Amino acid sequence: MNDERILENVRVVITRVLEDAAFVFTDELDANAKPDGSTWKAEGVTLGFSGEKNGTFRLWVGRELAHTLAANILGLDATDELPYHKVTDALKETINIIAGNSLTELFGDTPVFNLGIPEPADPVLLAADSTRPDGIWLSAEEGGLLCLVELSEQ
Amino acid sequence: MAYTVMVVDDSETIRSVLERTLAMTKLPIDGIIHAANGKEALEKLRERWVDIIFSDIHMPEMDGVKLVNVMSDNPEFRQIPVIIVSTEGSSTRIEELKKNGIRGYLRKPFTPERIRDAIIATLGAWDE
Repeated sequence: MNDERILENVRVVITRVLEDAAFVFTDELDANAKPDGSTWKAEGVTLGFSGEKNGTFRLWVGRELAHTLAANILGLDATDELPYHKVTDALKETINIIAGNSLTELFGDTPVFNLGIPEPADPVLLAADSTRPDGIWLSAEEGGLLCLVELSEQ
Repeated sequence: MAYTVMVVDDSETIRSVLERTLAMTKLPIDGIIHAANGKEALEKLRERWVDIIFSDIHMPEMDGVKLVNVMSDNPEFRQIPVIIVSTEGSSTRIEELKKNGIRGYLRKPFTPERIRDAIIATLGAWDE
């Protein structure tokens, strides 16, 4: 499976998960509209997995979008105040769902993958991640998001 | 007759979503008990009977697979049906879990209709 196909499959999964789980509708982000990673205010989460392939998913979400996403998942109004831990918990669950669905989409429903526990992503990684050519960028009304997938052989 | 449901997941978000989704099923549910992992679930089961459990697989302290195995070995708990709610889609994993005694498997993200169908298929609940 080539890298382009992996990225396209994951992009489709992210779009579907955000719509189904969080009622957030996204489009591909235009290359000219990508935020500057050194100044972008984004929340990040990361999840490792092992099995037929090992790897990592990492998700960065603009803060306003992260808040909306969490509010929608929790059935709250997007204007409601949300404690920070609820936003990060919602993002962790989002990456969990994206990873699980993506791995099935990429490798079918036979291989067993062990998903790790989602963790906050190191903010130091954001600047470099935002310039990677394999980043999956999407945008919603409330802001942008970036997903990176790293795969390695078992 | 109303049912008592336990939701087991280390994500507070998912527990909240499950609780809200259960309310949307319009099924006769009079109590929802939360547990953050399998160990906590077992502690709460010793205090109160539940009619059905929705559990994640990957949790710290005690995961969903271990929870199902411990419940199967306990005559007091083995009759309680467990529905796994997970992001994983491996048919191999699902078959292993079924051999360990789970009564159903739901993939995240789930809908109220799928939760409702799982409860009805397992407990035969109906609208009053």
